[in-house]
Amino acid sequence: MIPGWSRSRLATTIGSLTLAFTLGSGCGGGKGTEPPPPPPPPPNPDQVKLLVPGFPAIVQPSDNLATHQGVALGRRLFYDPRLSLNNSQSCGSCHAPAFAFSDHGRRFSLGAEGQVGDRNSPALVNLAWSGNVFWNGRAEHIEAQALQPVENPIEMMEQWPRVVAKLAADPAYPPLFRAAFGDDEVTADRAVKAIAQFERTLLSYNSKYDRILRGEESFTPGEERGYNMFFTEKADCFHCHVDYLFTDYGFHDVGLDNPPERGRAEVTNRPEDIGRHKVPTLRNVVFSAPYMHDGRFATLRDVIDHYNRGGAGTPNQSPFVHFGRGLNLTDQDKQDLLDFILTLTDSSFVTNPAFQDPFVDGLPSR
Amino acid sequence: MIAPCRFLGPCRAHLVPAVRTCIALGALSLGALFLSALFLGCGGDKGTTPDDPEGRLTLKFSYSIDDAPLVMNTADYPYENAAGNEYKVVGLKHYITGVQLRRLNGTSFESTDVHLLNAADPTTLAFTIGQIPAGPYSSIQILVGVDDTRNVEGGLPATLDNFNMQWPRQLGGGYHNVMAEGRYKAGAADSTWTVHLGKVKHDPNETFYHNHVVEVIVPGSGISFSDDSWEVSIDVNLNQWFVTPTVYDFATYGSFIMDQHEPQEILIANARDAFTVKSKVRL
Ligand code: HEC
Ligand code: HEC
Repeated sequence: MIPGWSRSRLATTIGSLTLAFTLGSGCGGGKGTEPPPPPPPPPNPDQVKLLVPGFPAIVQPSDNLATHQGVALGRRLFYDPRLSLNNSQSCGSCHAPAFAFSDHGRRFSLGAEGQVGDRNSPALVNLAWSGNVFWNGRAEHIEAQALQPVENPIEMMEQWPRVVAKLAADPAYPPLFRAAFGDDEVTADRAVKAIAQFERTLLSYNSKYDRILRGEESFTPGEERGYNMFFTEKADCFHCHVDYLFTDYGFHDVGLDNPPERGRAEVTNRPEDIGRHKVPTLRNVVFSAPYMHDGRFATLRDVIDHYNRGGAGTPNQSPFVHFGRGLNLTDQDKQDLLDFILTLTDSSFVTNPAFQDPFVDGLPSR
Repeated sequence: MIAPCRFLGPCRAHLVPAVRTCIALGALSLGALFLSALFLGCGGDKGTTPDDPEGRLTLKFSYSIDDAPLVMNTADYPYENAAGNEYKVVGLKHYITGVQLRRLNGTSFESTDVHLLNAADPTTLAFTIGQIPAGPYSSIQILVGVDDTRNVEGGLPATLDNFNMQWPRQLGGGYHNVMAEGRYKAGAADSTWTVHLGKVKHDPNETFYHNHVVEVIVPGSGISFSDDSWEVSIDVNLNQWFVTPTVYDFATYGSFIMDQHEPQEILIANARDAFTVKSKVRL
């Protein structure tokens, strides 16, 4: 139990409502000569409200606001194997809901012809807040990301024009594109927009931890000790796995060597980015083993041991991973930290019916 | 408990309903605190009326190590502080939530806008304050950090940037006022330093967390406005932050200072000599 939490949360909620009302008018304009602010546009009943009370506001791209129709189309496309060569693989093949949208416990994913990749398939959880995606951040947003796997030679190995032709030839799709985008035209741009809309709805905010913050449940003594280590400099996890989202959506080098990877520098070419990778959320991390960009750690305990050693002292290792000093955690401390991380598990996320493969319910034309 | 509503004073007429909301929430202190955060830009005293001339002030911040611009994320350890620590800087962010223009007669004009400055992101390093009543001001005082009323959980708007500055509720909650860190050479070994200022209990038996903000009257910042715009460039010499009145040694305080009041107190006292005016230009 966290005294006072629900009060401040209430304040946040009131605050954000009021913010919506006052934004743009500003304060201290003082002159009284400006025209009154224009009335807000009428609400679109089709629009999906992406709002998690107590979490940061979700900023959707203005040219791709999620609608119920767009999300439904995106969900279908996400699970449609026609996005790949030989119609063998969908996004969902490597991002399965039961594994928090990671790849079935595999270290490296297999491409459309069984070829082995070189990166661990990340969980897709709370991407609605994410800027750059991929471990090295090479896609600026999830719309840009969704274009890439289809034509990736170690993933789906297909060509977008062929995918578009396949979808347009299926009588089920043009009406779905019309519902989402106004007319029947099937384009790659619309397809990735719809997939991105679906991905933005993959929100997790109902873990035991959330219920504890809401005052509905309490920690066990071990979880509470872990919680206190996590959020103090004892374990110092919170500077990167920031509260509520458990990621800052930034890039950091946590001191992994053998081999040291270029990471973010593959994109930016800046020496200080060598070894930096995207910070994954720890929400639902229990479902997405193995861990790190290359899946080098089989268990969460291995990950904790890594931080406890203080990293390998790579050139850009973050000051929050305490090289040389380590964390001096006892076995009990490690267990407590693990117990806390497990309170971030949200099984309603992995079983959410709205997230599952729509084709298994007998939808046509697989 | 409606004290924060003082920020609402100069807001304009069409915001009156919101003012009422604020008073209605008076009993719910945190609600009121949060509302105060919404009315950024309300001056500390009367702003101008429609016909008065008004000034605009742009504050531009830069960061340096002694006489050279700060270069972050270097491969080597290019800097040396007064304690002899050879170091590099990896991150440097801080809030400014109060800019007070002071007059010789003791009155002042204040802006309480929230600014998060990130030395690594040049787009965050300048901001403009408008509606400054004409006349001479003897100095500029800035509040580095988040003021006491807003430095509580949920006290700032719910943006990702603000969430990434959170100060854990285990340590008093709210936000990091200053978040700077890097690595230094500790003999042959390599270690880390962090200058993270926020809320800390001075004594474990206390129920109160002291909020470690830095209030600096920037020397040489006197300025006079008519109907015009000025740009004042303020330089922050990070190395000077570790010198006076107390030499700050990374080997003593290192990277675990978030629950220790002594290094926090040293760093807020030391910060005062780190800020100087680099230039004042009428635009
Ligand atoms: C062959 C397996 C495979 C398929 C098929 C696949 N992915 Fe991925 N996905 C991966 C791997 C591996 C990564 C990490 C690659 C990297 O970062 O370099 C990844 C990364 C991502 C990310 C980045 C997440 C983050 O937080 O950075 C998103 C989003 C994503 N995939 C969505 C999709 C979508 C949408 C599709 C279908 C169009 C898809 N994936 C198809 C394996 C796959
Ligand atoms: C400097 C920022 C930083 C700190 C501090 C940090 N992490 Fe991480 N964490 C990361 C990054 C970045 C990754 C991905 C690293 C990679 O793959 O190269 C990661 C990965 C992980 C993963 C694997 C997640 C996955 O899906 O693969 C776990 C679990 C984890 N961290 C837990 C912790 C714990 C527990 C702590 C505190 C002891 C901690 N982290 C401290 C940045 C950080």
